[in-house]
Amino acid sequence: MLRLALRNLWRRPLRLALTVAGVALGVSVWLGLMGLGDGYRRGLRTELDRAGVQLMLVPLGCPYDAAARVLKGRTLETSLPASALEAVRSDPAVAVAAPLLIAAVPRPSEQRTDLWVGLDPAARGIKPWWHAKSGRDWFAETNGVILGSEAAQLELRSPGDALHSPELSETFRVEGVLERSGTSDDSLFFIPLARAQQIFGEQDRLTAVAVRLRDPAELRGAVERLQQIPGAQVVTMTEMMGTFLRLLGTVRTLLLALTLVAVAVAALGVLNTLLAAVVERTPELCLLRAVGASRLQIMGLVTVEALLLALLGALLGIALTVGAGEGLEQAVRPLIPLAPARGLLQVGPDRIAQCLGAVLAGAIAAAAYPAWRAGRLPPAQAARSE
Amino acid sequence: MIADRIRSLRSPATAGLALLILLAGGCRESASDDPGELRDAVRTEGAPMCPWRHPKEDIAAWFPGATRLDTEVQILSGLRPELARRLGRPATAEENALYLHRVWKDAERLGEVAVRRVKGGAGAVEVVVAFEPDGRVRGVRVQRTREPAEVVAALDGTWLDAFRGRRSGDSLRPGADLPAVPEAARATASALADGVRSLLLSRELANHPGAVRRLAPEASAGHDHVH
Repeated sequence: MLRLALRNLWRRPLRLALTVAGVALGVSVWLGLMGLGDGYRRGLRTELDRAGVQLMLVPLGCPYDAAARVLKGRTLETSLPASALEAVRSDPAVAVAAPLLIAAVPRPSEQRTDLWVGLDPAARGIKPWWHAKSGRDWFAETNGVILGSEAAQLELRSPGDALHSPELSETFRVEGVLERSGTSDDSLFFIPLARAQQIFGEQDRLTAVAVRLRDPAELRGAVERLQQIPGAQVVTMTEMMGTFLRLLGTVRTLLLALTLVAVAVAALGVLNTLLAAVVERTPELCLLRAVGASRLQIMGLVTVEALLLALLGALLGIALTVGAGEGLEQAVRPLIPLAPARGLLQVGPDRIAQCLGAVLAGAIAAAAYPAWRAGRLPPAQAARSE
Repeated sequence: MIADRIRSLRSPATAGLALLILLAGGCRESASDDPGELRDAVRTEGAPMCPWRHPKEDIAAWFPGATRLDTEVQILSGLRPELARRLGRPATAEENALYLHRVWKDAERLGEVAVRRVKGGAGAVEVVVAFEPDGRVRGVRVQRTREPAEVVAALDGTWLDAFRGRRSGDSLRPGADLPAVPEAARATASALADGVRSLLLSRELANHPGAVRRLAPEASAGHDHVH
C-alpha cells in the first residue's frame, strides 16, 4: 500500500512539491515561533537565576523597567542617594547589599555603547559566577578595570594591558578578565564604585542596590521595610519573573494563533491535493474496488498518501528551521527587547515531536473527507468508465 | 554533477522539488560546514570578525569610479603553519580567514580592501587596507581606535601614507622601514604595521592551492552596487 501511495503522489510532481512546501512552511513557522518563545523564557529564567539576588532597590519609576535595565547592565535616567545603601545594609534580613553605578558611553562611529559598571566588594557576593579567567578577580588599584570575557576579546586585552576611553579621557589598567557567564555581564567594563562615581560625576549616587537576604522566607517583611526608603522602590525577582512570564504568556497566545493559522493553511493544502487526486483517479479507485479492494483499504490508501505528504513536509520544515535557525535568531534579536545573551531560538526534541504529532494528526483529519469520498465509490463505475 | 542530475529529472516540477530538498540540505551544510573553520576561529577567542565600518567612504577615497563590490571569504586555516612562518609569530584566530572585498569598475577589477583588528597600546585598533590589483598597498586607514589623542596624532594620515606601494615581502618596521614615532605610539605603530603585513601575507597566501575560497553570503546573492 505504501508503494502504491508513493507512486500516486509522484504522478503530479508539481502538486506534490507545492503541497509539501506548504506543509514545510507551516511546520517551519510553528517550530520557529515556539522555539523563540521557549528560548526567550529559558534565557530570562537563566539570567534572573544567575543574578543571585532576591530583590533590587531602584529609583522611583517603573520598577520592572528599572530592574530589567539594571540586570541587563543598562543605565537609568534617575539614581538613588548613597544613603539608601546604608539603610538597606542596616536591615536585619539583608545578607548582602551590593551597590551598582552603571554609566553608558556611546561610541557612535562604532554604533555601540560602552557600559561601565561601578562595583564595591559586596558585588562578588551576588555574582556566584564571578571568577577570573586570567589575572585578578578584584581590583588592587583605583584605576583598575576588570573586563567581561566578550569585552576583553573585542578589545584584545589581557591582564596588565592598558585600556583607554577617549570619551572619558581616562586610561585604566586591566587587572582581570572574567570567565564567560552567558549573561550580559560578559560585555561590560567593571571598575571600582568610588572611581565610577568620580569619573561620571555621580558622587554619592547609585543606579541600584542588589540585595540577597539571609533567609528568602523573610522576603515579605524586608520588602515592606525597604519600601520606606525615600526616593526608592523595591522590586523582587519573583515579581519581575512573574510579570515577564505573564507578558510572555500573552505573546505566546498570539504566536500560537499565528501558528494555528499556518498549520490550518497547510492542512487545507493537503485536503485540496487529496480531493483533486481522488476526483482524478475515480476510474482507477473504482477498478480497485471491482477487483476486491475493500472500502477500508481505499480509505487507508488515501490516508497513507496524506500522512506521506505531511511527513515529507514536516521533515523539510524541520530541516529549514534547524538550518536557518542561526539566521532567524540574528534577524529577530534586534526586534526583541531584553533578549537573552544567547540561545534565543531553542528547538528541542520535545518541540519537534510535538510538531510532528500535530502535523500527522492534522493530515489524518485533512484526509478524512477525501478518504470517505474515495471509499464510497461504487465498483460498478469501473465497468462504465471502461 | 548536481546540475546533471537535475537536468536528468523528468520535469520542471520534479526539478523544483529536488531543488527544494537541495536547498534544505545546503542550509544544513552551510550551518555545519561552510565557515566551519571560520566559526572555529571565532570560537577559539570568541571575538567576532572585524567589520568594515565605512565601505562607501573608503571606496570613494581609494577607488573613485567604482561601480560594484563583492566579498570573497578566504579560509586560511589549512595554511596556518605557513602563515605563522612568514609572519614570524603564531597566527591569531582572526587570521584563519580573510574577507577580501573586491572593488570593480564594471568588469575591471580596481583593487581590493581588507580589514583587521590588531592589539593597540590602549585597546583594539581596526585597520582598513586597500590593495592594488597587483597586491601593492594602495592606502591604509584606521577605522576604530581607543588610543589617546597623542597616539592618534602621531599615527595620522601622513604616517599611514608610508605604507603605500608596500608589498607582501617588504619589511615594515616603524623607525626603520616606516617613519619613527614617539615612544607613546610605538606599541600601536608596531601593531598597525603587523596588521598590514598580516593582510599582505594573507592575501598572497589566499592564492595558494590550500586556501578555500567562498563568496560571502551577501555577495553570492548579488553584487553590491557602489554609489
